[in-house]
Amino acid sequence: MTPLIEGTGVSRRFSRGLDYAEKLARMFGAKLEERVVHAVDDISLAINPGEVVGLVGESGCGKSTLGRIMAGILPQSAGTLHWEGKDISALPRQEAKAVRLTSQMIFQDPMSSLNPRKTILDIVGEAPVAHGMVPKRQAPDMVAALMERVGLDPSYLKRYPHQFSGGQRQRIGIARALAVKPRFIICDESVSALDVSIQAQILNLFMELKQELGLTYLFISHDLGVVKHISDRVAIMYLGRIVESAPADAFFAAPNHPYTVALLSEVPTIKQRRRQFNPVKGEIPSPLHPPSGCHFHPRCPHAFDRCRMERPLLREIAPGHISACHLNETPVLAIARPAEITT
Amino acid sequence: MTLKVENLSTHFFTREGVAKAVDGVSFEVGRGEILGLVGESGSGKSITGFSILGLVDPPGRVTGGKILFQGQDLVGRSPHEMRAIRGKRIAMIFQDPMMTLNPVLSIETQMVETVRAHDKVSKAEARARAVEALGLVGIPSPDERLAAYPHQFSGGMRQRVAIAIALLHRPELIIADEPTTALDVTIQSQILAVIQRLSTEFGMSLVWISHDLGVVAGLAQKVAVMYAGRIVETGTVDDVLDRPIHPYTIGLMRSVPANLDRGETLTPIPGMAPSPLKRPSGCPFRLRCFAATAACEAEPEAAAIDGHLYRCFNPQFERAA
Ligand SMILES: Nc1ncnc2c1ncn2[C@@H]1O[C@H](COP(=O)(O)OP(=O)(O)OP(=O)(O)O)[C@@H](O)[C@H]1O
Ligand SMILES: Nc1ncnc2c1ncn2[C@@H]1O[C@H](COP(=O)(O)OP(=O)(O)OP(=O)(O)O)[C@@H](O)[C@H]1O
Ligand code: SF4
Ligand SMILES: [Mg+2]
Ligand SMILES: [Mg+2]
Repeated sequence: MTPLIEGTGVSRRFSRGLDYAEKLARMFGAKLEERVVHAVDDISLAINPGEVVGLVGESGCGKSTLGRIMAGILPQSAGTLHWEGKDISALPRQEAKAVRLTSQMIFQDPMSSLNPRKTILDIVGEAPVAHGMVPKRQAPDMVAALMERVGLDPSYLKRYPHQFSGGQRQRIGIARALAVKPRFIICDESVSALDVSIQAQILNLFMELKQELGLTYLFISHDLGVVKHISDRVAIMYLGRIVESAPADAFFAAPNHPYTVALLSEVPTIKQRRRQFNPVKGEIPSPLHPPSGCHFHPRCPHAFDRCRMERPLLREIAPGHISACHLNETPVLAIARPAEITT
Repeated sequence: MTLKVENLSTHFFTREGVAKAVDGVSFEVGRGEILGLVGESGSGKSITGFSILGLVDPPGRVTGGKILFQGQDLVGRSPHEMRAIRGKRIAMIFQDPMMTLNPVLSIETQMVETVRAHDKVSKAEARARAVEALGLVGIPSPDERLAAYPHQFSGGMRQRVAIAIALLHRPELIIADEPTTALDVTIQSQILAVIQRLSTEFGMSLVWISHDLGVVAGLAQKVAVMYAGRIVETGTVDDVLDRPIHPYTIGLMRSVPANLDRGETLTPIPGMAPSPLKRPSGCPFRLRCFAATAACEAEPEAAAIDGHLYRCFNPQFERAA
C-alpha cells in the first residue's frame, strides 16, 4: 500500500530561547545562553490511508514538532515528505496547496487557536469560503450541518468561543478542521486538557468521524491509555527519535524497548492497588545535551558499553514491529523482560 | 483521627450569585493514611484543600461545618493561629512547584528560612535538615544542590524540592493538590514512590487531590469522589473501585480508556458538570445520570453499607463497573 503520508529522515533543529524562570534568573545575573535543540532527529514515519497512528512520548521529546512537520505547517530542516508517493516539495504550487489543506491539525487548547472576536460561523466557515469550496451564502447551512455533526447546537452559530465550555470549544476546533474536507488529521494532545467524561465524548466523536469520512489520524498524546484505545499502531518517541513502533496489539502485549517497558509498567491504572512504585531512575535528559549513543542509556537498567557509543538503529523484530535497542542484536545480553504488561 | 472534616461548606459570594464550591463535605483521614480526593474540574477539590489550610480568600469563606485536626477545630481560627499550624503541622504541595518556590532565591536560602520560620535553630542545623529533606525525596548530592536556584532544576526536580520543603517540619498532614499532574509518567512514578515511603515510614497522613483514578488506586487506602461541591461516594479504594455504587463514579470509570480493554467502547457521561452558580435542585447529577428517577428531584442524603458511603436514591449495588 502507498502510504498516505511518509516522512523520511526528517529532522528539525531549533535555537532555543530561555523559559520564564531562566529569564528571571538571567535578570538576576545568572549566565544563561540560547542553544540549539534537535527537536526531531532523523525520523522516518509512514502512515497508511485510514490508519490511526498514536505518537507517545514525554514532554519535550518532539511530538508536536513532528506533528507540525507532517501537517505541513512547519518546514523540516532535513528529510523529505511524500504525499501518496509524491515528494511534496516537488509538487506544483496548486497541488501543494491542496495537500496542505487536506492535512488539518487539532490542538490541545482550543481557546488559544480560536479567534475570540469571531463567531462560530466565521471561525468554521472562513477557510472553505476563502478556498472557494462553498459560496459565501451557503456557509451558514454548511456550518450548521457541521455543528450538528460534532454535537453542537446549530442555533449557536452566532456565538463567540468564550460562550462555550472547554469540551464544546474542542468540538468547534474539530468542526473547523472538518470544514475543508481533510483526509489527514493531526490531533496534538486534543483531549488532554479535558475532563475524562468530556474526553470520552470527544474520543468517540473522533472514532465516528474516522468511520464515516475515512479519515487518517496522527494522534499525539502522552496518555498511553488514550493511545491504546484509539490507535491501530503506536510509535514511541524519546528525545527526538522514534525508539519503537508496532501494531497496537503487539505493542501492548510485547513491548521491546527498555524505555517502552518502563513506561508501560509505570502508567497508573485502577487495577493496581497500593502498588510498589518502582520507577526508572534519573531525569529525562535535556534535549540540549542528549546523551551519546542510545539516548536512553543513562536511565536504562540494561545499558552496556555499546549503548554509550553507538546509536541503535530501528530494526524489525517481528512483522511490523520495530525497535531501536542494541539488546536485540546481542541475544546473550537480552535480559528477560516482563512477559506481558497491561495498561 | 488526624483529620476529620464534618459537613464543610465554603461558598463564594460573587456578583453573579453564590457559588457553593464546597457544599457539605465530610471525610476522615487516619494517621499514616492516604485519602485520594477525586473528581472533575470545578468539583471543589482545591477549595476543600484551601479551606483546611485556612487559605480561602474573599469573596469566599467557610460558611459551615468543622475541620477537626487532631481533634481541634480549625474553623474560625485567627490568621495568626493558622500561620503557626500551616507549614509546620499541615503542609501543602501544589501542582505548580513555583507556587512554593521563589525563583530569585537559592534553594538553601528558601529551605533554611522555612525551617527557622517555625523552629528557633541555628543556621547550620537548619541547613542539615534541608540536606536531609532533599535526600529523602531523592535529589542526588543534596549538599551541593542546595546552592542551586529553581531554574537550574527540571520540572520533576522542582516538584521534589517543593515536597522536600513541605517535609522540613515532618508535618502530620499534607494536602497535595495534583502535584504530579503536570509531570511525565516516569517522573510521576518517582514522586509517588517517595510519597508512599514517607507516609509509611513517618506515619504522615495525606489528602491526595487528583483527577486520575489510576494514581489514587496505586497510592491511597481510601478514596472520596467529589461532584458539584459534594462527596458523592467514599470508602476504601477496593470498595469504591471494585464495587462503585454511585452512578457518577461508574460513569467516571467507564470514561477512562485505560480502565477498559482495547477496543471496548467508551461510555461517556452525557452533558457536562453544572456551574456552581446554577446547580439543579435535588441530586446535582440527575440531569446526566443513567439511573435518575423522579425521586432524584429531592436531595439525596448520605447512606452507607459497611463504611462505604454514597449519596444516591438509586444505588447501583448489582452493577460491576
Ligand atoms: N519554536 C521553537 N523554538 C525553539 N525550541 C523549540 C520550538 N518548538 C519546540 N522547541 C523545542 O523542541 C523540543 C521538542 O518540543 P515539542 O514541542 O515538539 O515537544 P513535545 O513532545 O510536543 O512536548 P510536550 O509533550 O511538552 O508538548 C523541546 O525541547 C522544545 O523546547
Ligand atoms: N474566587 C472564586 N470565586 C468564585 N467561584 C470560585 C472561586 N474560586 C473557585 N470558585 C468555584 O469553586 C468551584 C470549585 O473550584 P475548585 O478549584 O475547588 O475545583 P477543583 O475541583 O479543584 O477543579 P480542578 O480540577 O479544575 O482544579 C469551581 O466551580 C469554581 O468556579
Ligand atoms: S440520586 Fe439519582 S440522579 Fe443522583 S446519582 Fe443517584 S440515581 Fe443518579
Ligand atoms: Mg507538544
Ligand atoms: Mg483544583
